[in-house]
Amino acid sequence: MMLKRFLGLFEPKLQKRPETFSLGNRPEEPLPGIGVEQPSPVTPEEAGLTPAQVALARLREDYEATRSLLQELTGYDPKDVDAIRRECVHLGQLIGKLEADAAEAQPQGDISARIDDNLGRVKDVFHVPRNSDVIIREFELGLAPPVRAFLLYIEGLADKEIISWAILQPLMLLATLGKLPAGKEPSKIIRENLVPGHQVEIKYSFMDAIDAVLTGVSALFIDGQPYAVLIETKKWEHRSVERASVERVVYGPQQAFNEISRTNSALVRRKLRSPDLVMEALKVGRRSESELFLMYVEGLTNPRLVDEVRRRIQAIDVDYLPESGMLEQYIETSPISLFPQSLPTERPDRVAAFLSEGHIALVVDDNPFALIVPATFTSFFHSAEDYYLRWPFGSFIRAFRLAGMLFALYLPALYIAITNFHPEMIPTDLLLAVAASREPVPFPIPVEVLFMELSLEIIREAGIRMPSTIGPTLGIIGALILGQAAVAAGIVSPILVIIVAITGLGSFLIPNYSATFTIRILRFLMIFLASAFGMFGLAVGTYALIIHMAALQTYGVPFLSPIAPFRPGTPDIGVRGPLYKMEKRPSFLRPLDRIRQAPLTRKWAPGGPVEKRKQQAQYEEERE
Amino acid sequence: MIRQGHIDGKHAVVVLLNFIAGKVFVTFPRHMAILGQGAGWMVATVAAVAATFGFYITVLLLRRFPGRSIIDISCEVGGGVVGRLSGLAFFALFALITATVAREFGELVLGTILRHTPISIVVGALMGAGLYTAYLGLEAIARGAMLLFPFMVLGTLGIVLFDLRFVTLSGLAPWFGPGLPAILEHGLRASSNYAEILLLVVLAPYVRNRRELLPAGLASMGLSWLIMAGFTALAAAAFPIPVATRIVFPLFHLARLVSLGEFLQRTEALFVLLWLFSAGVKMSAGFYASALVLAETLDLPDYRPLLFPLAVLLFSVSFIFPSLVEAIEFDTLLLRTYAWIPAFALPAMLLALALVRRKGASAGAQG
Repeated sequence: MMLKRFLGLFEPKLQKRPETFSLGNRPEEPLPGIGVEQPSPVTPEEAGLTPAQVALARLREDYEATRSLLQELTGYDPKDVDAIRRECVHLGQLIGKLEADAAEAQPQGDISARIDDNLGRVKDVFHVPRNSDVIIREFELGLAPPVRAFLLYIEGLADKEIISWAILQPLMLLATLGKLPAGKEPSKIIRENLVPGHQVEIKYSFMDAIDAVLTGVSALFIDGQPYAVLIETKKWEHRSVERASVERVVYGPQQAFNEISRTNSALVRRKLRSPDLVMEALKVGRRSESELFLMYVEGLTNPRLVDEVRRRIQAIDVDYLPESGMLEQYIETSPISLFPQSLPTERPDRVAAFLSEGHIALVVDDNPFALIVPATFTSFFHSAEDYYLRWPFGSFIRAFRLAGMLFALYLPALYIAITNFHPEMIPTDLLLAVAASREPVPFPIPVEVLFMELSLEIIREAGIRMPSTIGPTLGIIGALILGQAAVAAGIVSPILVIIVAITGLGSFLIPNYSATFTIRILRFLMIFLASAFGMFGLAVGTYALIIHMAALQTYGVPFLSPIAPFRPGTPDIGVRGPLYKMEKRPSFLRPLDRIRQAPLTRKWAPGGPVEKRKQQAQYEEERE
Repeated sequence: MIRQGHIDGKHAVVVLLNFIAGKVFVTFPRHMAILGQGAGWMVATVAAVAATFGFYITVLLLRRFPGRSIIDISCEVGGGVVGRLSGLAFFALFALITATVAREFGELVLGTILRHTPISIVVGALMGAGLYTAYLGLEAIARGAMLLFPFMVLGTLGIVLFDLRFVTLSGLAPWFGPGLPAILEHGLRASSNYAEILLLVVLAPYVRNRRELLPAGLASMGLSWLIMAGFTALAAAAFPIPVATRIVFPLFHLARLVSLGEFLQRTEALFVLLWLFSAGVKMSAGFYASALVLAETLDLPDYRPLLFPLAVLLFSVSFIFPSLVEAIEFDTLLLRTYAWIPAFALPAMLLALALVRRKGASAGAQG
């Protein structure tokens, strides 16, 4: 009993753990905080009713009362009834007028009707004149008695041409030319007669106007009017759509994302022209709001996955989140794992392909990389080009990539384990060659390997940071350190140079940049294990690695799917099978529509399994 | 019941295959050679048949209480005290298996590929790997075992293929070894070598499809028998009987014989590496089962707080034996001679008790 009570201490803590999200095998339950509408009583103030609307409602009540009174009175005294009827017609007219006024009436905002108040507030919020890129252009509207106004915009974010010729010119000069319609609401005149911009909006809230200005919109404040006119003038310097630089291919589309999220979303939509492609806009960040798009295909992507990703994004409560790599770190399932759980890509075609499989893509504004979630192990050695080539070629390069990955991970460790612990495994001639080449080297093998691996990593990092003008220098230094000089100085043996070179080349075969980090760090771990325990260390390390990967979850999906748990279905794991055999989408994503093509896509071809013909007939029947 | 994910039949078979047949890499072939000389494989066969029968009886017990764990069932059938005691018996079985396996594989590594390393480090590393996996849970063990399965196949089939040229059928003579009655007697007791099938009984509530339980059990028994009897026969046929009864790790010596042409010779280190994966799965399954059974016996909501103390305990137990000889003696003379009592006799007794006390669903209403 005592023991039970003692161990019972664990209980509350254990029960408080939030349930881990898993996409499969769990009962369908609404996730907390999602899809649950909170009904709340609405008061007139909360509903945003203006005093005019409230008055109208009251008048309508009076009218109803009068009408019922009229009905009561009808038949008693025709004179009274006639008088009341006349009164009612009059009231009806009044109500009609009030209704028209209410439609015109403005909601109460916090923008003052006095221009000086607004000017002072804008200067205060933007710290003008210390803030140099915030431009406040004061001028007078060219109306019969001139009206004071000012235009607020940020230099660099707004288009100066449009401001000069399509806003200031009509307002200041052209307003006097034509005859403006009399008795019209000033905001209407400006919107409908004076500003020829393609998107014009009236805002009554001061902070709404400020937020819009920060995105490149120009705000026009006019004396006597309690609102700001927002005129779309966004235009800033940006890269155009360029060739992919990180994920290059020989065949296939060459475009890459740039920093404009609208361009990026358009690039994806160009590839996936479906009304079901949804690009949900979410906002993250308190001090600076970053916009991001949650892309998925409605009716295909599992809604529970979408809800979970949305829930994780909405949970982010930070000041500033400018980048997709940072977003990844806030929402990934296992932050301590060495393995990346989302796949950054700069290729719109890749995003479209993943979306059509049932994945989700996240695009953060001002960021040329989209994040694919969930990313599984296989996607880190797949490349877009695998699919554009014929299947034997695709499988061939994929096999080499996998081999490169294994070389990058194990080769130095294996060299240490075999030469240090199990030299009997090497044929005698080779062993003699290794021994001879090591003869002038004064260090033990692990030290030698670590020295070379560290130099390789240093050269690699230097290559990324180095100005391109002095790039060739790096090649010379690298070749000297890693090759000739190190051997000549007797610090390393020539065989090790070959080993390290193959290791380096192998790690360059990995098509995903963040996955290379995983392999590089694990390589050092393996080197350490092999130095200490030889093959035994490698076995234990590999075992732990495999188990870790098998237990890892990414967004409710096992990281190693579809290998473990093994769910064959589409020949697209190690071998890139023929496209016509990829009839089903990956089942681990639990897409709402599993079938992506007919069982027999090459029905004109003679032969083919009878089974497939039957399936095709059934499929066609179902389609009809 | 402790909620812990699910496994399906295929995964269960692979885990069990490692858990039962993993001992073939250490001392099992020698044990059989001692019991049956050239007919050691027959002893293994009799043992497998007997163990399958024992397992079937346990399945009958489980079917009377669908979806419940064996500890639960024992408590229901025999009351609290009997239930807890049988829980402790199961726990002791798993714990001793895990501790001896750790020691034997540690000695295998030490005696073959890492001659100058302290054994505590090797056993500690194995324990660590098992602990980590058991902490991650059942699904991790199952998926990991599935992933490592090809390596295990490679590590066993490779030996069979490359060593066939050393095999002489006459090495198995005299065909019936010590005689049929002795084979039967040894075989019945050696059914303890399949006691690990109890893992499937413990995991029964977590097998996704209840109907898969019996087929999965039979498949893992059959495959384990194939591996264990096969390697017993291979070792007996490749080495003379007196040698086969003296070599502590016969499979390692078979691996030493492998030479792949001029280039790769003496590849035993590679083979040991592949076997260690199997040892890892075996360790983690043993750890997981002991912790789970203990947690269920003590009515705990989670088995994980028990893992680390358990690892310390098993680490110490594995060093009770002063040397490899004592460890092997304990394994063959005690554990693998009497393990049938908790593994098969206890569930049979529980079934009998359930029948007498009319507990559980009748046999007709089985799921």
